[in-house]
Amino acid sequence: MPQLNANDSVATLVKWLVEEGASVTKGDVICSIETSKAIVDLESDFSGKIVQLATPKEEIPVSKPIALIGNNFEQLKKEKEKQVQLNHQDSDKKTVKEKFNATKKARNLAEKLGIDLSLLNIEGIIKEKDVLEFSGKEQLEGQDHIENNDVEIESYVDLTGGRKTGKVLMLESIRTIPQSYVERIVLLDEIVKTITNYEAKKGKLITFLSVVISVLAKTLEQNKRFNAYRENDQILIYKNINIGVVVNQDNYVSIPTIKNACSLHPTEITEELMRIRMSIMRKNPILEDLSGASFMVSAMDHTEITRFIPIVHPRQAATLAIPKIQFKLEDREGVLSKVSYLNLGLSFDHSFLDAIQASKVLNDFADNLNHQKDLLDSEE
Amino acid sequence: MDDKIKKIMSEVFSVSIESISEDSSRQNLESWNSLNHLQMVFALEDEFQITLSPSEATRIIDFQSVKELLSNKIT
Repeated sequence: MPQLNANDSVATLVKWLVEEGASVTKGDVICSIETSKAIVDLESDFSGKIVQLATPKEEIPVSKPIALIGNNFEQLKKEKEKQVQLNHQDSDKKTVKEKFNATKKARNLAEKLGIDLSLLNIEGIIKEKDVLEFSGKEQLEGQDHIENNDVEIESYVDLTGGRKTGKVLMLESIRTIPQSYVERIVLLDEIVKTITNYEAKKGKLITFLSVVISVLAKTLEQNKRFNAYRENDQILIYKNINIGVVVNQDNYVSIPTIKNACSLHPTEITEELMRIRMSIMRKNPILEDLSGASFMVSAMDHTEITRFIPIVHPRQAATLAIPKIQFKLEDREGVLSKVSYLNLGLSFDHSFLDAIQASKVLNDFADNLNHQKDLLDSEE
Repeated sequence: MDDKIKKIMSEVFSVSIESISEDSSRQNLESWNSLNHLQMVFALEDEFQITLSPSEATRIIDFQSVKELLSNKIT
């Protein structure tokens, strides 16, 4: 096998172009082989009958013979048997790692990064980019193959349930969605007052989160590309607006999902969320209630977290972040007033959405929040 | 019944039992968020051996509404 590419230590036999025992002349094309860069025809350096030493798809190290050519066919066949025996012995001695067909650069990089090429599961020749890609993937998958002998492990905890599903979703998200983030302050004084008055008047709970979902549904109607996802070069826009809320209850993560949120009043959303969350706590949730979200809200308003960047879920365009409601003093016509607000955040898929569009979503949300306030006020 | 309700509310909302009164509501208890609301619903169910529907759970907005709901459920 000649050295056809400076970076290759092996090449793969694609197919023989002459039969076993055929007569060939120097310069005849006898087989085609695949290097890391191309498939090329290989010419004979000798004339005579040919005995093949390799089979199609076999990887052959550079300089190793792939055929014997001479006039005494029987003698050549005996020589082939010897070669086959020697090959078996060699093969047994080799490690799995050495058997892999990789370019020199790929082998060097794999050695540097401590990556076992047998884990790459690639057909054909392994290239430097394959090792790099695997290296990134390996790190994302929890550095399963990188040992850290300096740190002693006290115990192991298996990921289960929502945590395990979440791991899969987050890894897929990071791998497939280039994410960006925008944020703006939203004043809440007016809406909080309205919610309080509405509750007192109607004697019915109406949570801030349900108002957020109602307002968000309206906002997504105005910004349909955020109720969508990208697949290759297409944006697939969802027909319905189903808003999932990431909830961490007793360290159990679930996603109660409000289907067709546009058609529901905030009080109905409050009750629907209550129903789903009660079913979770009673440990008899309905799967349908926890799936099918076209858009996600990550709610941390019950914590002390004032700002966070959520991750966009696979097959979604964006995730809205609801951190803790804060208070500040503001001078209003010479009078210091306590004003409530939050840092409304939006993570989005930057492969088909931009920061201007994302900012518009947040601005529309703020406008719709005021409109919702007017609607609730008018019901009193 | 009042004392039991006050005890539950003080535990769920992490405030002293003395600070819970008949005027306690979502407006004056800062820690009365949706998560704690749910915790209170289940604490009431346990204490009074009742089951509340989601609709009933959303009727709870203050001390008085808890008392009223429980009176109707228990009698």
